[in-house]
Order: sequence, then C-alpha cells, then structure tokens
Amino acid sequence: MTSRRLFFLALLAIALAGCGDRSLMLSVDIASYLDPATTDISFGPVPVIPGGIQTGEQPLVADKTVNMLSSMNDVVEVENVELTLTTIADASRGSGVDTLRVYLSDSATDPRTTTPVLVQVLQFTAGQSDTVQSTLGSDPRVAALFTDKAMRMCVTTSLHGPASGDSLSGRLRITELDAVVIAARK
Amino acid sequence: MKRLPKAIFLAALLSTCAASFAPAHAQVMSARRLGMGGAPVPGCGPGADGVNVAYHSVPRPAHGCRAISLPIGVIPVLQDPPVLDPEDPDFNAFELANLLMNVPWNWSLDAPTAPSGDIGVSIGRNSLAVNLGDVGKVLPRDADEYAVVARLPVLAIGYRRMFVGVSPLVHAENSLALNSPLQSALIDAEPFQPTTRYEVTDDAIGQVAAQGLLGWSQPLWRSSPDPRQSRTGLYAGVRARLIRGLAYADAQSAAGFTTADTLFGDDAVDVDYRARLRTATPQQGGFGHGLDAGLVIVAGRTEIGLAANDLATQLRWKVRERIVARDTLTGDLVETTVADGVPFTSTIPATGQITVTTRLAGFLFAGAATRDALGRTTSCAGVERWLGHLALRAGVARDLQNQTQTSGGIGLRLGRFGLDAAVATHSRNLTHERATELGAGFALYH
Repeated sequence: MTSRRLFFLALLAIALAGCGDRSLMLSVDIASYLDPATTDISFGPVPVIPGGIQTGEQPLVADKTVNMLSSMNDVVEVENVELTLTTIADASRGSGVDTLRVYLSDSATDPRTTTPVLVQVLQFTAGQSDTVQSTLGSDPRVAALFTDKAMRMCVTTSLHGPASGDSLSGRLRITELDAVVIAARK
Repeated sequence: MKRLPKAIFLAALLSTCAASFAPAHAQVMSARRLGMGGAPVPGCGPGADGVNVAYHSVPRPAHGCRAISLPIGVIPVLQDPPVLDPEDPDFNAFELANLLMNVPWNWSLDAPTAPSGDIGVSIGRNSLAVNLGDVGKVLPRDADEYAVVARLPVLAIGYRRMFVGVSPLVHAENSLALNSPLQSALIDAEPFQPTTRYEVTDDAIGQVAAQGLLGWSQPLWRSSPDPRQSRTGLYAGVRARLIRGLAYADAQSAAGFTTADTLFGDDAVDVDYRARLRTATPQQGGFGHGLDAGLVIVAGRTEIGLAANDLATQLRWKVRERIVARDTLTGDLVETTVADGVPFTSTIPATGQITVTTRLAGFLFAGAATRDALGRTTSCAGVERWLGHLALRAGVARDLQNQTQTSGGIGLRLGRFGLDAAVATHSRNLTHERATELGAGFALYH
C-alpha cells in the first residue's frame, strides 16, 4: 500500500468517523484506465457466410489492472454498487450482432474465470447507430472489489457476422464504463 | 493485511480537532462575569491577582462579593453521556470533540450541528476529487493555532507586602497548516492536480513545570491610609518565579506528497514524512525563571489594571533530539536519535491584559482586552445595573474569529446571599458555529 493511499484512507476514515449515518459515495471512472485504442474500434469488412461468422469471445481489454484507494475495506462497508456501461454501435454497411462482456475480479483471480458482471448485446444495422446502456445493480461480489486496492478487468467481444446481404463494416465505442459505490463506515 | 485500527483514526481526528481549534474566547464560569460579556469584575470572584499581581495589595471594595459558580453543564452530559466506543453506531467524534473544546461547566442551550452530509470521492486514472462535505469546514484554511498557558491554583501565603507560593505551570501550543493546494483539494473539493505538492505541517510544543513564587505588591501611592475610607491609589506588584521543568516535548512535522504526471498511473507516489522531536523527562528538566508585573490605578469609582505575565520566562532542559522519517525502501517510519542531553532553553510567551471598570450613574461598566500567548487579542465589555435586589447585566465580546458574542444576565440578592444566572453566545466548537450557554452561580456579599 502506498503512503499516498494510506493518507486518503485515513482522511476518509476520519471524515466517516463523524457520525453513524454518514455515507461515502465513491465514483470510479473505469473507462479512464483503458487505452483509447481499445474503447474505440473500427472493424470490417466481416464477410457474409451462411449462418454468419461466429468469432467467439475475443478480448477487447485483456486483463487490465485498475488501481484504486487501498484498504478501504478496513474502514467502510459497501452498501450498494452500480456499474454502468454505455456503448455505441455504428454500422456503415452490413448487419450483425455483437455481445460485450465485462469481467471484474480481485487482483489474485483471472477475471475470465468469473461470471461476467455485465453482458450487453449490440445490434449493427447498416446506416444506423445503436446506443445501449446497461446497468448492474447490487452484486455483493462486485461491491467488494471496489473497496480493495486494485481489481482486474477484462472486456470481451463476440461478433456474429452477417448471414446475408452486405459484409459488415462498423465501429464500436465504449463511451462510459463507471461505477458508483455507496459505502458506510464499519 | 492487518486491519487499520479505528482508534488511530479517532485519535487523529481528536488531535486534529484540538489542533485546529482556536479558542473563541476563554470559557467564563462566573455567572456574573458571563452576563457581562466575560469582563473581569475586580473584587468579585477569585483569580484577579492571578492575572494582575498588583491586585494582591488593592483593598477589596467595601461592598464586594465572592462568586461560587455552579457546574450545571454536567447535568445534561450525565443524563445523556457521550458515546465513547467508536464501534457504536451512535458514536459521534465531532460532538465529542466539541465537548472537549467546551468543557460542560455551563449548560449548552443549543449544541452546534455536527458536520453532516455524504462524502464524495471521484477516481479516474488521472483524476481524483474528494468532497468532504461539512467536514471540510473543520479543516483550517489558514494556519490554525492553539496556545494555552495555564497556571493552576496557587498555594500562597503572604506577610505584609511579600508573599510566597507554589503552583504548577502548563504551556501547550500547536499550529496546523495545510498548503494551498491541499486546502483547495480538501476544503474547496477541487480536483487533485498532477505534478503538484500537497503538504500538511504541524508544530507543537508542550511543557510542564512546577514553580515557586516570590511576590511583592504594595501601594505606591494612596489617597488615604485607611482603605475603608478610600481605595484610591496607585498599586504595583511583581512576581518572580523559580521554575523547575518536569517534562518537555516539541515536534515540527511535515507530511506530503507530490503527484506524478498521472495521478493513478504506474508510478506510486509515497507520502514523505519527516519530523524533528525534542523531549525531556523530569530527570532532564532544569531550572528556569519568569517574571510577572502588574499595575492598578484606582481613582474613585474607576479602576484600571495593567498586567504583563511571563516576561522573559525561560526553562533550561537537557533534551533528546530525534528525527522521524519514512524509510524509502520499506515505507516504515524510522525514528533516529541524533543527540541526547543537548542543552536547550525553552520559553513561555508573554501575555497581557488591560482591565477597566467604572461606576457611573448607578451603572457598573467593565471592560478588558487580553493578549494571549500567540499575540492574539480578544476584548469584552459589560454593564451591570442594580434595581433594588435585582441586577440586570449585559455584555459583548469580540472573539479570536472576530465574531461578536453577546450576553445577558440577572442577579438576585437576598441579604448576604445572591443568585446569578446568565445566557451568552460563543463559538467554541469545531466549526465556530454560534452556540448559546447558560451559566448559574451563588454570590456571597460582604
């Protein structure tokens, strides 16, 4: 644990020690930790084949460590966490379906070995833009991750290409991936 | 990882609170004085000669009184004692700190509001913002300083113009300051900036000593040899003090960090902490000296007192000097003794007070200006009017936050026995919020 994190931890603990009903609202901009090259992707053309191409799960963000404030779990108890993912799917031609999966795990666990915390289905339709926002409500396993000093994240994409018509060319953008954690002092 | 004990955070909070608290103006326990803005009223109540040594020789007024203050403030505290267990959901460190800052001698009619509201923290790879809500108001925007020089009750005996005595002496000072970027981040909730230095510094001194007093006080001039006929005169006094140091400690510490180009990038930035400590035990305490001086002018119904205490007060010690710094490899704090038995002379800062009282057209007017150990000045003034057996009192005071405090009170006299009550405002709390207190006491008239 770096001392800087200890400093913030002490500060939060002191502030939270004030009274019983005080809450800590922790907002984590997870997307800011990601390389922009992995959150704004142009792809294609994906050829047309009978039944459409199934890419299977391909890592978009492969096992990224997200450093946060250390040892908050010594001081606070998470009451709720809300995880929001917003993506935009643009298709210049062709059509298809993509499935985004977000995995989160503690620093000792391969995120791909856990259940995805968010699964988002995107429709690619020629000439149209599809904006999808998904929200994960309270999940005790995910909540606990946000009070640890670091967590691991993985985002995968699974494309189902066109079975007919034009080949698929498009662009996928993750515009928002953030978490809001509500915690109270232990 | 080992759990971080809450007691440490509680101690940190309370010491931060204590350090950041600048006393608004001294708590007044006499109900009569409380009703008059805290202005000292010579000849009524103990302690006048403790502040102004010349009062030792000023005859008491023919119709004075002795005040007996009642600690009515403990009643609500005993009825609803504060929760001391940090694990208890009802534990409120802010209320506890306010209680320590404002000893419950008088009855608090309205408790200051404990800082409330949620705390917000926003984290991104290159962004960090902390919104402490009302807690931010507790943090000092300027260097917050606290100083007290306490001379506890004196055991003294006198013969003619001389007197001797013994008393303990306690001096404590603390100055806590956040640098400008840290103030912006914690008080104004502005985002932390890359490549910026954030630092908090704290300077603290504490020393305890026992002192023997040798005093002299006498009228330099008096209009009448019989004080029962007239108290008019010029009175002077000096009090030399031989001091034996019992314990000493000072610490100059600084903690801070410099943010990197990216706040939560790969490069960790550790807090660097350094402190220089000097300590002395009773065996390492030496002798010192001090001097108090006072002058009182009584002209008919008007009294003016000038007091200067701790003039050139010094104590000698043999101190142990230590340096505390963070080990850059392990991250642990390492304490190193750099010298032992080093001769060191500490000082106790001078304080002063001017008091004025006068009786005019049936009114008693009293006022005082006090310079504390940090050179800060407070002032107060009050008026009293007797209507038969009933006294009406009012007062005003200017505290260290330059806030105006007001008060009012009544007194009821039945023969030699009297009852006083007063209500006054003050800001002796963490957030310097205005609060109201009720004081009560008996008076024995002579």
